[in-house]
Amino acid sequence: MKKAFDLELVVGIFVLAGILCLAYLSIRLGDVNILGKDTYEVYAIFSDVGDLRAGAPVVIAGVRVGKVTDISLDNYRARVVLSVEEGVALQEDVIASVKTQGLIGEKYVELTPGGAPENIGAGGRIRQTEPAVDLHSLIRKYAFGEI
Amino acid sequence: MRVHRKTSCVRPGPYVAGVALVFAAAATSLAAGALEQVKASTEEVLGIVQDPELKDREAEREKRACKAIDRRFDWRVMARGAMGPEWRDLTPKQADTFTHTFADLIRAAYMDTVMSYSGEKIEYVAERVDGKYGVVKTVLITRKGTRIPVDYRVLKTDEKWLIYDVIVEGVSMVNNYRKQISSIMIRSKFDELIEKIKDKAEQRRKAREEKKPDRGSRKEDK
Repeated sequence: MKKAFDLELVVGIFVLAGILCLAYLSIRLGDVNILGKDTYEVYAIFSDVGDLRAGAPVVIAGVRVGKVTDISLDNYRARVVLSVEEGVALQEDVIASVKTQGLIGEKYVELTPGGAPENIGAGGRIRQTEPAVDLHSLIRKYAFGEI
Repeated sequence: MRVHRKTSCVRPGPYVAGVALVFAAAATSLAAGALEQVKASTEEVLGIVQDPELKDREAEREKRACKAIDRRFDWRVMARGAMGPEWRDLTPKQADTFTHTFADLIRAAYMDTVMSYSGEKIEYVAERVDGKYGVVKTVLITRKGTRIPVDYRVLKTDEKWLIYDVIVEGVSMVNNYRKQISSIMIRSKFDELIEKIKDKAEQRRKAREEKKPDRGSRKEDK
């Protein structure tokens, strides 16, 4: 009698641990932000973002400080919404550039902090942007030469 | 209806019309857009560079061109942007020194480009204005026909649109310097940075003088 009770308890704990692992995995893989850090959103307009995707990292000096949450078309330019960790202040003259990891890797957004006295608040706009460098057109220029 | 009555009231004399005209002229010059202002300055500088009267007076030409450049650039905002977050830690005196030195470097670089101007066409494509910030889009067409997009970022100060960043083919000049300066500031002191920038400006100036041997010899003839 006592032995059977122990077995049920062990099974119960085992199943519970399984469910916890599953929950952890789905939160990690699904990039769900439940107990994450507080963030605020700013946006930037780029003439070209290449193959930048929502979820791409936003970095300052190579350190991840947020991610791209939305990319949409605005007057034939790309409007990119970035969510940045609270506590990382962005100056009015911060520069956002679309960069590539390695030579042909994934795209990400790099922020270079500026020196202006005012900061961009939530919902503000990063005015200084650099579009993605189009590797194809660079190769094209070298391969076929300039006219 | 109201408009009609007003015009009949205004009739009374040429004086009113004159005043109105003056106001209208003032308004258009004040409201001249970012694009027109940048265009006017660029044409002024190119005009000075190509002025045949100044051909033998190199120093005078350079002085005038620099003055025209100074009127259109906001050196302080540009220097602040190039310095980045460290700007807030600078003493007012250091900030002035840096602005002055950095402006000298950019002026030298700009003069380099302008002095080698040989009739390339500049298209003024569009301006985008949002509050006190604006962008003037231009395209430089080389004699071979290559189109190089050049954007000017401008900031409105007292009705004047002043340039604080130049973007060539999508690459920002300020960002280029900001990255270099921040890595220099990490490993060395402020004074060393100033020395480095001064050296660079001097190098550019020397290179330009060497590039123009014919002008140099003419100077000796005088």
